[in-house]
This record gives sequence, C-alpha cells and structure tokens, in this order.
Amino acid sequence: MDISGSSSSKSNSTGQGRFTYVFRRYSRPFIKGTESVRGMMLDVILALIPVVAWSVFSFGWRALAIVAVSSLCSVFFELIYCRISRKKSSVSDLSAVVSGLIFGLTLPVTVPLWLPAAGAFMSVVVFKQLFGGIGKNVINPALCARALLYPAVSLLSVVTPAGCRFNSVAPVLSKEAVASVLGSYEPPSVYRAVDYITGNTEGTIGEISVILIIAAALFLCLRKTVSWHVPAACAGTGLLLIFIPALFGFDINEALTAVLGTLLFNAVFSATDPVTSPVIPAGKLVYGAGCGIIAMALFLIFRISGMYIAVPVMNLLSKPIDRFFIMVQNKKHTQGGLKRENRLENREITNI
Amino acid sequence: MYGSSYFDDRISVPESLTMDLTKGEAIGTVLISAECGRAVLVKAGDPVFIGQKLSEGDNEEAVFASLSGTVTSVTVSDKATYIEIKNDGVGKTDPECAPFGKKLKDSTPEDIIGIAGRAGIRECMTGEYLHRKLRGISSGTDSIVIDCIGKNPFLPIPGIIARERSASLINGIKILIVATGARKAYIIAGDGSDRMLDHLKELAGRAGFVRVLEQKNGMTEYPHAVTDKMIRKLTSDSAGRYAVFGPEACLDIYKAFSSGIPCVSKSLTVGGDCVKRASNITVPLGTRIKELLKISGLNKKPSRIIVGDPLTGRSMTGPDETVTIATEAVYILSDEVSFASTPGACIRCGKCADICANGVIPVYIVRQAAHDRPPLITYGAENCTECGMCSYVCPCGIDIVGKIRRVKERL
Repeated sequence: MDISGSSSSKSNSTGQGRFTYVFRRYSRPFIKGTESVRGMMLDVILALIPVVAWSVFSFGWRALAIVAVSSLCSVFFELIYCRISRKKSSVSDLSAVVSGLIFGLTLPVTVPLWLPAAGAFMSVVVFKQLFGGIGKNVINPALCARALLYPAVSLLSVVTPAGCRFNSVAPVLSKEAVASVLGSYEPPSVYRAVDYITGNTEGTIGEISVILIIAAALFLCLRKTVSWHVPAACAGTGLLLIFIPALFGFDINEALTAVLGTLLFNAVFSATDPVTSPVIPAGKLVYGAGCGIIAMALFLIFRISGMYIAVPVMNLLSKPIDRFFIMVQNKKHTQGGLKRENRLENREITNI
Repeated sequence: MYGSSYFDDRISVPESLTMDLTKGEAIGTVLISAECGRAVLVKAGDPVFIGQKLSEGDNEEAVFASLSGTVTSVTVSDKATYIEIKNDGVGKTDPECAPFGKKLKDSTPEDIIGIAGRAGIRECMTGEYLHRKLRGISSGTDSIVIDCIGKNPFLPIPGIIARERSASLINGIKILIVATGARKAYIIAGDGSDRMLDHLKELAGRAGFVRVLEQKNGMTEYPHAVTDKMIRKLTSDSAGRYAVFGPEACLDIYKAFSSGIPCVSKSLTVGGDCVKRASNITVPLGTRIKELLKISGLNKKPSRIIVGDPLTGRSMTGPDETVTIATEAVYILSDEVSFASTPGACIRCGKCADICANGVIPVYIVRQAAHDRPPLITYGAENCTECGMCSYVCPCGIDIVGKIRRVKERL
C-alpha cells in the first residue's frame, strides 16, 4: 500500500488502495494518551452507580425518579443552551450527567419533582454555561445550585430515615402521604456505628452510606481521576471536629446523623471537582481542610448541613490558595539556591 | 513491549532488528544530496558502487553512494546538488574501500580520527562529526561512556545494538579507546532483567576494560537522559573525565576500520498504529521515506507522518524527504492516537503538573499563553525541557508544550 502526498492543503485524489496524506506542520508531541474528560466523568458515574442503587433500596423508587429527573434535565438544558448559543455541544463529555447526579443525590427523597429540574437548570445554565462552559466556572455548579435552593429544600421536604420507602413518583408528595409512610416505620431511637457505616440512618438520598462512599473514593483515587488530598483533608478535618467533643463526653450522635454522610459525599464527589479546586498538592490539603472546618462551624453554630455552603466558599478561594503555595515554593527554591551558592563560595575561600 | 510504564501499547515498538535492506532490490532509488558548490564526480548514466565517493573533498564535504547501481539524474538547485541512484540489486562495494592497513594496537589516535573523517561518521543524536568530536576530546579523558538507552521508549535502536550487535559494539569501543586515550569504557543499557544483555556482558568481560552498567527501567522510563548524575551514580564516581558516544558511531567506526566502507546506511524504526509490519530496518542513506511506508504497508489512513519519535520528532514536510543520519525513526499515526484539531477547555485537573519531572505547573501557563505581555509569575516555564508528557496526559487534548513554548519566548 502506498501513500500519495500533497504539500498544499488541497488533497490529491486517492487511487485504489492508496491513502492521501496532506503534508502539514504539526507541533510535537504527536501522540496523545488515552485519558479524556469523558473517561474521567465516566469514572465518576461508575463510582456513583452503587450509591444510587443503595438509595433506591433505602428510599424506594422515588429516589431513582429524583436522580433521573435531575440528570436528564441537566443533559436537556445543556443541549438546549448549546443549540441556542450555537456552541459545540458539550453533552458528550458527560459533565452534565455528573453534575445532575450529584445534585439529585444531595436532595431528600420527599422533595417535589420540579425541584431537581430547577436545580439542574440553575447548575447547568446559570452556574456553568453562563460562566463559559466546562472549565470556566468558578464555583461547583451542582453545589452552588444546592446552596441557593437550600431554603426551598428545607421548606418543601422533610428528611426521612432510610428504610422509609416512597415508591410514588407523583410530582408532589402530599403531607398525608409522607406522614403515612413515616407513621408505618419506626426508626431506632439511637443509631449504632454499624448503621452509619451501612447507611441505615437518615439523610438525603445519596449521602447515607459511608461504606459505599469510601469505596467510591478508593475507586476514584486508584483510577487517578481524583487525587487523595482533597477527600482525605476534608473528611479528616470534619471527622476530627465531630469526634473531638466525644473525648470530652459530649453526645455526638446528632452531629453524626446530620453531618457524617453529607461531609463524606461532598468531600469525595463535590469538593474534588477539578475545575474549582486547587492544583498544588499542599493547596489541595488546605482547601479540603477549609471545607471541613467551614462545614462543621456552620453545623455547630446554625445547625445546618454546611457542606453546601463550605464547598462554594472554598471554590472561590482555590486560586488564591494555589497562588500562595506557588509563591512559597518559588521563594524556597530561590532561597535554597542562594544558600547553596553561598556555601560553595565559602568552601572555595577556606580552600584558599 | 517497551513503554509499558507510561505509554499504552496502541503503538507497537518492534523489539529486534528485523531487516537489512542495504543489499537486494527492496529499495528502488536513493536520493543523495551533496553540499552546494562541490564538484560532483558522477554524471547521469554512470555506474556506482556502495561506498563510492560522489563529490569532491574530504571529511564533511564528501558524500558516498549508498547503493550500487546507475546514477539516473544529477540535479543542481540553489540549496544542494541531488544525485539519484537506481538500485541494481547487486550490492557491490566500491573496490577502493579497503580495510585500514595497520593493526589496532599499532594505530595512533590521529589514524582513527582520519578514518572517522574519511568515512563521514556522525553522532546520530547530535549530528556532530565523529572526527571533530574525537579531536576535541582526545587528551586527558579517563573513560568513554556508550549510551545504549536512547532518548525514549519509541527509539529502541540503541538498546537493540547492545543486545544484538554486541561484538561490533565492543570492537567499535576498542577503536574509540585508542582514539581517545581513555583507559576504560562503560556501556549504559536498560536493565536486562530477561538476561538479554548476557552476551554483551560476556564479551565485555572478555575485553576486560569494558563494563556494562544497567539503569533500572532505562528503556521504559521517560523523560530521562544519560545525565552526569546518572553516570556518576552508576559508575560509583569512577568514570573520572569521560566522553559520551552513541552506539551507532561505534558500529560505524568499526565498519570503516575493518572494511573501509564509509557511513552509508542507517538503522531506524518504522512504527505507529497505521503500519502493518512495524520493524527496525537498516536502509541506505538517502532512501525516500515513502519507500519505507511502501515496505511496511499501511492499514489505515494516516493523520501524522513523523520523522523521529512521536514525542520529540517533527512532522514529515514533503514527499521527497529522505533518510539521513539523524533519522532515528519514522512513525505513522492515525487520528485515534494523535491530537484532535479542536482541543477542549482546560478542566484544571492538574495531571500535567503531576507528571512533570521538572516541577513546571502547566495548568497556569496555558492560561498565560493567550496574553502578549511577559508573565509575572513563571510557574517554572523556564525549566521546561519540552519532553511532551504534559500534552500526552492532558485529558482535554490541549497542545500544552506549544503554549509553554510561546510563554517561554516572552520570558
């Protein structure tokens, strides 16, 4: 087989069994690795599938309906926005699916079904595309939408314990329907450690199972889709702040029930969003720790799930954090260099 | 398969020397370029033999026929004189090529330098003429170091020479020892965990003054280079003043000394995912690259034809490009493994900063590339060696190296 080349941008006609090649200058390197944004997003989706499955098992089919509405609406809004603004469609990179899934999983099972749709609109259109699309947003879209919808979610829904299954997919659950399901279920008076680990507590649909979230974190770290710094620092700081009061004899059950799942879920899936988190490892640790501290402070002062506010706040600080650590590194580097030079000079002088 | 530590095996890299095409009819014609202004000794229709001098002059100025056959055309342009030779398939050597008269132990450094100059031997990596290099280093050198690792996993020839052409390599080293006045030689090779280097070690042991040093993962790691630090560490600081040579130069000087044939052939790798039969072949200098493609066969539409390896090579510029002494490989890549024409937006994943061996933070440099002013913070751009790993790992397909280069120009 032969190649017929052309040095202009117009290609020669090809003969039977021949390939046309247009000679052009390309810059090196020429070979690209297999990693892609789509692949990274697919990893996150894979990591979320067990979490979704467990939420359906714990909360019934309504959980699936919420997640489905949230992610399908995200894709739909992204498609529509790209069509209207005549941008190249970015649906294929799956980032809309991921942000839809994450938003859906941070909602309680009793929310009306229009709420995930509204959240999808806010996250995809307002906080992602209006900022310039993937890579340009300053704050994590899903969590920003969740933070702004926080009052609506608190007003329109109640947090239910796992095991209370809602199989109705009615757009809005009536108060009676919720009460009847809750009435037929008797939650344990005190949750034990095993309940927290397996996700047999109360909370939003995706944030109850500690073991599945940790497994997802391990999977994502092993696949190198996220680095360990952010989840470790965030969850570590948060857990430390939960458990330190226990050393002084305080009851930490309330904190564990209200915060543990949210803390871990968002430490693994939201805070690690590469676009809005620092790049430098030391910066990642500070950023993660900051998320944990702010979240716990908000819980201790206002009794609210602070991760939805902590992560967007730290998102805004991620670039300054990076810049700070880069400056420190540069300074250390130049100072080290100067010291070395001085030493060499001294040695030469003493040798004389 | 090489490259397992960083590079996936979408691109196969052949592991042994498979074909010698310097003789026989595989190559149709060669195109040899002589320096402009030099008197050309042949005209169209003349018969020529392998190793026959084609242009007037010695050392750098001389060019040699790399095939036996007939001169079909002599074209003079303002850049160079091009001599095209049609292969007759006989492979006869020029009768004037004769072994060097003296024995090696009776030869002086000047003799060897003369042989290297007359044979037109060059270092493949740098393109430097061997006789000039030898003249520059011939006094006070303690040892010579032969770099058999190569620049990156896509260039396997130096490693193959260490494994498959051990005897010629050791003989070449003996000649270089005489030329430089060094007392010992070190061959730095990739680790021969599969006993591939045993033959070389045995021959080196018999020679006495040659030692084979193994760099762990030498053939698979990238970016790396045979650095001063590596040499000091491997030789436990016993190298003293040393000079580094490529294995190809050793083979060429041995060939010139033992048979008088000048440097007229080149071993190179033809690979890539578009190639049917990836191979390491020895071809006459001046072979057109499109002939190599015909020999290897293509199985899909190429998107990039690269002269050199996919990380540090350059794109082929025209259909008449030929194999020169600096052509270490030809890679033909399809769209599946090369960069898309429209890159995505940076998602700040930081993989480029993680993989960089020189502490550069490309994430931020990419953003600076759009501005015209010199950057306030350099993010290590001045340390970039353009190894290409950042572009390779980028999930968004951004030409990071190109952008860093643009920022570096403004520093």
